[in-house]
Amino acid sequence: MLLAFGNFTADPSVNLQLLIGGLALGAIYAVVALGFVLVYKSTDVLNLAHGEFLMLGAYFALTFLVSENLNFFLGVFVLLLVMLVFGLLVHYGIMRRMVGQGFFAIVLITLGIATIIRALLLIFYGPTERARLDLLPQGSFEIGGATVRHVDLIIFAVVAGCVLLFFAFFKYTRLGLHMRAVADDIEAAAAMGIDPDKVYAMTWAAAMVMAGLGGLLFGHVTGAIDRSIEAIGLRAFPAAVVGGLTSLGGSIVGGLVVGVIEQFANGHLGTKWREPVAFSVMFLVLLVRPTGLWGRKDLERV
Amino acid sequence: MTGRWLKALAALFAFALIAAACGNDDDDGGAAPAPAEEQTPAAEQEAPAPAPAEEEDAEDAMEMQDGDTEGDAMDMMVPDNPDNGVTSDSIKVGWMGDLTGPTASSQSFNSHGIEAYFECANEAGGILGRMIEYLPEDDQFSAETAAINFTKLTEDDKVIALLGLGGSHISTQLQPDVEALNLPVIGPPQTIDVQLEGDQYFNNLAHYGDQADLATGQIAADVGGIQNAVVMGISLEVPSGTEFAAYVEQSVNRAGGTYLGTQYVAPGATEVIAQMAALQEGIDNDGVNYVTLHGSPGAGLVVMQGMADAGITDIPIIGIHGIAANSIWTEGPEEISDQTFGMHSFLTANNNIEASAEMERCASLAGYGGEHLNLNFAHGFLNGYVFHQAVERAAETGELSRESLTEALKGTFDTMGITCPIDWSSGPHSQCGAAFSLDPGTGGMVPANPFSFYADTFDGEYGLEIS
Repeated sequence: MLLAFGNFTADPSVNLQLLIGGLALGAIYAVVALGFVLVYKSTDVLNLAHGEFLMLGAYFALTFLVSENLNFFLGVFVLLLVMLVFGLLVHYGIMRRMVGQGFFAIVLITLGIATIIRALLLIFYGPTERARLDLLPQGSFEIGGATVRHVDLIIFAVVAGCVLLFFAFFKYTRLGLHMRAVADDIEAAAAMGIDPDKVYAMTWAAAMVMAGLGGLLFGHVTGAIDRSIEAIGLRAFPAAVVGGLTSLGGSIVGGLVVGVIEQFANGHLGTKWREPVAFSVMFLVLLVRPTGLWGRKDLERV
Repeated sequence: MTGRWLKALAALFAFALIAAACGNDDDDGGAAPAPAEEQTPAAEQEAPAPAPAEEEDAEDAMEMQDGDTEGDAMDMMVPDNPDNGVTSDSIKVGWMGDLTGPTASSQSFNSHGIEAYFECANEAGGILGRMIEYLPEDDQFSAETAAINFTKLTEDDKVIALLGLGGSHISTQLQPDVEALNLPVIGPPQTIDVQLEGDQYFNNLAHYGDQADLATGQIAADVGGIQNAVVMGISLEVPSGTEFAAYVEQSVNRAGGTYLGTQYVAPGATEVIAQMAALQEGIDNDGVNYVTLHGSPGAGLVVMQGMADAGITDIPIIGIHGIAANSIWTEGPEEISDQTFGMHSFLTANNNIEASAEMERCASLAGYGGEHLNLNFAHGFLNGYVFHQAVERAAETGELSRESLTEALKGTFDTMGITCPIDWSSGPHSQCGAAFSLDPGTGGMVPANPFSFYADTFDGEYGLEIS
């Protein structure tokens, strides 16, 4: 009986498919986790609206690339530009006023932003789901009886490129160094002539550009574009925490680990186990290493 | 300086939002746009001659069009009953469901259909000379919010009935209260077994058991006999998903086919990689040749996209709920089997039925132009029409209350051709349904076969034997 225990027999090709599917899902989680990490690392804000930001990116991609039928590269440029502007607005309009406020107050603000985005998308786009994007190569090939989609490989490449870019940005650029300095000690950085306000604005803009890119990529692999895709934010949260909320590389590893674990839980235990298992892994990691696998523990001088 | 920058940024962002919204105007609403045709005022259109048995009800339907309210004299005879939402100038009726949550893309059309019917009814003078005050409450598919909405509708608004109560987890939770209040529920969008336990549900959508029978009939027709069928179910992981899958298993097995098992999909899932791996294994090892599907339109699209990604493009699909939404065909992957059907019990306006012109006119009047091509809109429109007839019938007893309305509903009703004639005199079910797909020519849904084709497949038995 096929469903006698779990969902599968021990067919190796099925497990390989779960592994490949898990890595593909994990790459998306990594994109989202990068957004979490970028904001947290630079501003100490746990941005729970990041899933909605990504959803906004997916809907804008739909508008510019499908409805308006812009040239792909022009459309992506416009998408990222709009997201950048939106990031600046989030900072100058809202988050700037929250600097110095309590951690939970700021988290609640991000939840409020998430609610507003969901409502605006419902108002402007309506409740009906849309077909996913198909602008990137849609083909696939087989390895050991498992299907590998071209688009998944593209996502891997983009994620890897983003990580390298961020590493270089934080290490070699003036703005990147300013961001690290502000994250380390805002008062010392300000005393050295760094304007934390500008640094924060750039951080939100960069995070929003990442969300736009994530939305564009996720819009190619999700089954449909609708308002349920914001859940990717919550589902990628364990990935960011497992990797360490301050580690860019950790977010990648965390994303891949959580993606694979989710797929195997889904495949062998059933869909209801998928998120409990992912969050259990997060709890375990936090119990053993409260900063996540690659997170940094801040020293407090007393 | 900073202020100028902020203004410029705000202007740019506002422009982007407006561009985004404008760029999607043609897609809004979900149902495919209505075919370009000149609208004729409904009152000027020639209505088909009603069958003798339905003549009286059909006349009532026409009253809505020309404003001639035959019951004017009777209006004064029905006393107000504010405890049941009946005042001297209005009758309050509620709706509970998901208008902005994860299943809004199917449930909201249902509410719009009801609203459209009442827009027209009120335009024609209302029912019994009273305006219908339609009170839809959005629960976003949340049982907690639904409980609050139910209290508001029954205790504050004191509605006389609910025209729909969406969400199997919600109707299960509220079942005791519905019974205790003698609150009639007309045409809920799901027909789970817990609703069999009471006397207040009046289903014009075929029961899950009947829809499973219908699916079995369609499967048998498509694979050359049910004995050749090897079926795998894919269901949303909610009570109705489990129940529908169990009914399909029961129906397929009883008929002599093979039901291999059910894969569940979490609400809000964005991919189904594991489920597709299981389906592929079922195809390779056990010869699965048909998929039954349960879920919202979004879940249906996710599953179909998953099938396309996995290269499973030649397996026919038959499903319920959101799988009968227009968007499954307009937004779904092109490579999925042409043998994709959504089961439902209602005909949309493109099917040239008695209600076609009114459905289209009322949809436009209510601001939902184009939605008359959606099955759930047709369902809602019918719910409004049945309520209209039932209220007039209840008024003949001299009082309008939840109890008299419940009794009045235990009878026969005209449907203007939207579904088969309703007969709730012996039970609250509708053995009427068909397998639908999208007609690209009209943008509306069309049945693969007429209702009569499937009538013999219904066994009229309700209640699961499979746990």
